[in-house]
Amino acid sequence: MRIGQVIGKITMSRQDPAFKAARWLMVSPVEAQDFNTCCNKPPRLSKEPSVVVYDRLGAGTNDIVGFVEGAEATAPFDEPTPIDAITVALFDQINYQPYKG
Amino acid sequence: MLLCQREDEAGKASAEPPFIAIDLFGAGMHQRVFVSTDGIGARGIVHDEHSPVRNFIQGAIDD
Repeated sequence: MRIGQVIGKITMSRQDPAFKAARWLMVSPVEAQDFNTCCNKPPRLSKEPSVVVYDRLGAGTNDIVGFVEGAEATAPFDEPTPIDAITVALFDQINYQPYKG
Repeated sequence: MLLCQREDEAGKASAEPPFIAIDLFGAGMHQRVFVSTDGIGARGIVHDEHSPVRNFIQGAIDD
């Protein structure tokens, strides 16, 4: 799971029937130096590429989310579903204390 | 959920970005741990075949 900030929403005119009532978000991965402050103050836009993420939690713009990528992203579905990223958590607070030793 | 950072061969923090793992036994801050990235094993541990979890802490390393 990675940490990201919702920076936009995406609507589709057509999509695979497997998605049903899907919501799609544009998520920018949060960089480590912004972990401690990102829940209170929007982090700077990451240099890492943004990801289109399937959302069932109702995350909104600027929310800090945990998103899972890869095969595990499809685990919540009964049927095989062609997604590769899904939101799995909305974060209230992140405590990041990198080990310096 | 815990934030984990990889360490390199010398035991220093790796430059790779930190990642999130679930922890079922209570690892402490800055403790060295083993992390499994096996999604099938992780779903077994949480007893939920529909859980999207992948990374889980398997154990703490004796220093």
